[in-house]
Amino acid sequence: MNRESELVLRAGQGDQAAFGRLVEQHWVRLVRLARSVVGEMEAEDAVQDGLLRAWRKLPGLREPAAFSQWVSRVVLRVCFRRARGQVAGLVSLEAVPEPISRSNPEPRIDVGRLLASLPPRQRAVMHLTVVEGMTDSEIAGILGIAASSVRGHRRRARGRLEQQVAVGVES
Amino acid sequence: MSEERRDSFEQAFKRWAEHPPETPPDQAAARVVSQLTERRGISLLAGSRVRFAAAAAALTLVVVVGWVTLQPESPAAIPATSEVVLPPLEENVVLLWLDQQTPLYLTVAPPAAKGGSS
Repeated sequence: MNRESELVLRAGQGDQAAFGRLVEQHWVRLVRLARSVVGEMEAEDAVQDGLLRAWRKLPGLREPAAFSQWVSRVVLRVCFRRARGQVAGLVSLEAVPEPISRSNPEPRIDVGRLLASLPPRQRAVMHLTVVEGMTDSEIAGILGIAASSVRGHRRRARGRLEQQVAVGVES
Repeated sequence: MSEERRDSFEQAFKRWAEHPPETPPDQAAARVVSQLTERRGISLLAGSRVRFAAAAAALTLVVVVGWVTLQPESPAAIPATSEVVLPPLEENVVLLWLDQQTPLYLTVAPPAAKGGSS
């Protein structure tokens, strides 16, 4: 059993310090994931809400080794719920400017605006694919859908992004 | 999306996502942990309430089902009044049923029968 699984077991038994360690280990990754779905303004709040839900549900987690995937799922559910309540356009995603590299001559791409044009589930699929480099079956496990659905979401997301680029969202 | 555009978008997406959270992990952990006791306590309380409500509902269902199934034979099983064999009525007798098993016979007679003329 690895170190994280031990922490998960202890946290499931009510050890708050162990859960705190797990939060520390997963915080950055989860905030980045949430940011792609709900935007910068709500990301940390959504992750915190998700982690509190995870704490309550943790005694029911049967496979400690699957904690990372499981907590991503819990947080994403919170994000999807919040995203449904957001005004169309998800302006808050634009709050994070893309770092501009002077040495990078390629045209600037407004990632926030492009992501905002996608439905929340497609944003999550794109994040897990591009940023975390997960396989379709891993993404399917997190989203609770079939791997073929993951491919469908990604295909539609790329199609929509292409449309957005074509109408001049890309600057 | 062309391969070139897709690659440039995905590179930009990765750079965009690398932006670190405003709250450092240790502070975030402290903040989350400070809320754990209260939340799980509420959760347990809510959970026990739900379990109590479910048990009460199940008990009520058992009582109702038991009451319905253990009822004595329904009145429909009792022979209808038309099936009860009654003696033929005389012309001045009226029969009223107080319920399905209780007949009431009334004899109709003229008031003069008392013979009280004075």
